[in-house]
Amino acid sequence: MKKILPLLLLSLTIACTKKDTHPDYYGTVIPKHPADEMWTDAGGEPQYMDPAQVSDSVSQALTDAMFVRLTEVHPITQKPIGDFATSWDLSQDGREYTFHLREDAKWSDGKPMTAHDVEYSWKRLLNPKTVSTYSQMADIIQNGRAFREGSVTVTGLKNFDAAESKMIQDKLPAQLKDVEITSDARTKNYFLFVKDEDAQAKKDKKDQLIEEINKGILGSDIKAEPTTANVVQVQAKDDYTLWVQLVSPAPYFVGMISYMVFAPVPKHVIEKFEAQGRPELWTRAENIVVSGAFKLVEEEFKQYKIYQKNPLYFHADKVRLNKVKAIMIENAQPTMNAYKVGQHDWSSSESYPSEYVDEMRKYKDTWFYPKTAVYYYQFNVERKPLNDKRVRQALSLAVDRKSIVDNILKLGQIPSRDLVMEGLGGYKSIQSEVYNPAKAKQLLSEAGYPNGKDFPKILVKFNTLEGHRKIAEAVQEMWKNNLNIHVEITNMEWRTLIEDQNVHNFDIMRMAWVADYLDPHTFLSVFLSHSTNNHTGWKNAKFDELMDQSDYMRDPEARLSLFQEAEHILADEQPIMPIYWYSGTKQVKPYVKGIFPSLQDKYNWKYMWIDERWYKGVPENPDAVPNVPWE
Amino acid sequence: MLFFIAKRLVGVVITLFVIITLSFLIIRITPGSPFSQERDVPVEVLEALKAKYGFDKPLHKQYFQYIGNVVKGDLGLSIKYSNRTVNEIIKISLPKTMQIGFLALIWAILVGFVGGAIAAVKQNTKWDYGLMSIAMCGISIPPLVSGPLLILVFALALPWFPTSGWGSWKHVVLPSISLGSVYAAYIARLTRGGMLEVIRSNYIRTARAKGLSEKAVVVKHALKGGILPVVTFLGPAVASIMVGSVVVEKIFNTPGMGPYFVDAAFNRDYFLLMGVVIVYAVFLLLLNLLVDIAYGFIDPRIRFE
Repeated sequence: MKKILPLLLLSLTIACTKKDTHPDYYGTVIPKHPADEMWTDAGGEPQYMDPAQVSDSVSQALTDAMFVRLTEVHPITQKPIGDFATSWDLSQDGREYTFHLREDAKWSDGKPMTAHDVEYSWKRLLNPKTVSTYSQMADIIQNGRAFREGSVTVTGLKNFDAAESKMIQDKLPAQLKDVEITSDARTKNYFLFVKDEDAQAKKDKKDQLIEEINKGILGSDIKAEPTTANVVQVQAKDDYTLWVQLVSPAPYFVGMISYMVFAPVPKHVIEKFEAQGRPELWTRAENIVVSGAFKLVEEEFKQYKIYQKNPLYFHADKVRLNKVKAIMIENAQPTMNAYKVGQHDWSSSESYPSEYVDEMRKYKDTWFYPKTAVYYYQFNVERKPLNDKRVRQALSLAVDRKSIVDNILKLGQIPSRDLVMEGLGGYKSIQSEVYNPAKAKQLLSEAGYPNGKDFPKILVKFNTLEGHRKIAEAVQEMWKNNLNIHVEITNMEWRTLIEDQNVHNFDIMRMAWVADYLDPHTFLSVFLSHSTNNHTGWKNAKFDELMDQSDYMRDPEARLSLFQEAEHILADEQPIMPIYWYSGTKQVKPYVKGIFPSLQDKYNWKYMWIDERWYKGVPENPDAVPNVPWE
Repeated sequence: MLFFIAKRLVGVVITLFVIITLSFLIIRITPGSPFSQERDVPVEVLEALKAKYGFDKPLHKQYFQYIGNVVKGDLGLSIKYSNRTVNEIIKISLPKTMQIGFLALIWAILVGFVGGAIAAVKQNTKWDYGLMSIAMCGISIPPLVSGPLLILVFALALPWFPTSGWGSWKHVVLPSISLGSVYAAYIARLTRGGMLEVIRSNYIRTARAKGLSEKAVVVKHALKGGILPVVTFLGPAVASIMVGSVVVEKIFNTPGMGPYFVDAAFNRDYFLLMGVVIVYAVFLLLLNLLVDIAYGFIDPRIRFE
């Protein structure tokens, strides 16, 4: 031992003074791979590699560079721009889009990629058999919901007005009267939505409905059949022109289709595997066919995935990397260690354990950037005393969000009592007052609980995570100090919590929402009365009406002020209590270029490259090479 | 002896059946669904998902179907890793876990046995106290602590080993040491205890009286006696070492089987969880059987009945 100790210390000193580090950066600054390669940390093994099924950040990160979409979000301006679609025309009423597609696009197996692939892919997204949990996003396409929800199509009717709908309803047998009826005059169809909690009962009812109508209860030439994908109003006009009709003008549509689930997928490949009975196998490295800059060529489960540049990608000449290796590291501590020694060049969202944040702040290669996600507590407004809006307001106003952000979170999150973040799609935040304990106290007293007297016992539920616990404890203490009320807090395992949310078994529950597209609609629509994501029990007709108006409003400014008006209602009613807007942090080696902070945490490898000067150590002027995307 | 083994094997099958049945029930009555997420899953999609995994059928039918599949060697589809089967995942991850486990075991037996034997022979000397103190530390320092420490010294400060991952022999060293050290400590204490008991017994005294050299007494007689408690301990220890440690494999980000015991439960990945439980149970039952057989060879007093 006497001999080993000095040797150990000596090696330690040598290791720490080695030249591949620099005090401004965390760990090595010299790439450990050839200059045409990049190594990234994926954050774990993805759940899905099929674009239509992507619903989590890991799956998103690992498919992003493989599948092009019609539009993409520009990495710097964060605004939607064309990608597979070069341009688009809009009809007079704002509901019909005609997309003009690139004519040089090919699948990686050489087959041309056309508008027919897009049509197939969007209809496939809506098909429940595809098991896409994001399929509802495509409900905005005319008749999309009718197909997705398995409605019954009725043909042979003429007027498509309220009187005709009523006639249908009247003529249906008693046990089938509770169907929802919609119509589409353009395709001359009625859609009847059968409702039942039980799946089998619903199926039986649907069969019965079709049988009754075909027997002639609505008229001899009126026929019914299960709704097929044919009614969905998306159509390839020719190989390079895609036409789509929307339910309402929805100005966020162009941005929304940059989301991964709308990526065209190779019909010829998927159908081959469907025929074999194992459709999910088409996404394996040995089978996959892609449209984007990189193609998955090799994978070791839970270890790494290797991607090679796709020479048939339509911008292949601009892509500078030849190979990307994505390493699957699941936890923050190993991620941080691996980054330090250069096992990967930049890390996914969970870069390092949160207790290292002060340490990491010292380094230039640690990023802090805003994200479009909100952290909130939702109130169950069906339960006492939370059914009183004054109580909800009081609870919300009594939380010192700034203190939570400054003392617990420390990542530069923005404390806020509002749902929609400043600048999202040009939105001007309504900036509700964030903290006012005196007013909170007064409101609580008005609600019948002066100085917290006789305030009923309520419980805050959150999913098990140290960070959530710290926030819950802080909130608990603030309510104690400011309102003199005591609430219980409890952590729950994630899926049990979700179960409780779904059956509304909570008083107050921690939740978060991440923007699916960069428009206020993505947040506000969650709290529509009919939204299946609104678990608060809160319903407001005026709010619904304003949101509905916004769907049809073509003038961008007027549309944003409708959103503001809607959010004022939400802020006044406080069915949820936003606490802060998220911020992201990650580590990116200084030699990685073409990577930019992203509101939605999306980083497309196609723009990235390695600054070769760093192979010789920290260059004289590290920023001399401009960090810009191509185009 | 063959009858003994056959009888025990029947027991193994029955126990396994009971384990599978109980686990199946416990896993299924746990609240929460494998498909739940923040965003509400559309009803139709949920139905399609349930149909894909057979959850649309009544529970007892699912159970019999599952048992039937297990008998055929089909452990079902993973829910979390949607394009993998459970068989595939276990086939990929178990050998990696076993590699770490095997090395950890060698490390544990080597260090533990030698350390324990020395401590026993040199009872109440500074060797004994020193080694047993180290063993005590080994037992009290779990991989949760030793893992990050090993990384800190041998991967970050001294770049001898990779910090995490898989691919070369270097990736196996630190996790194995971290995992094996706790077992080494137990084995050392058990060996010492076992040997001390034997050393005081009559037949050792007889051996010494017959004038056998100290070396012969220790190696031929005392060691053999010292092994017995270790063998008892090794059965379940090998089983748990071989199916992996959640903690070690998380710390070193090893793509092994260990983490699934926790992750698959959190993800409600029903079939994957059942799969790893079955693998663990088979290991445990067979190794216990092996231990019982080994007894007969090591200790002539034990007879197969």
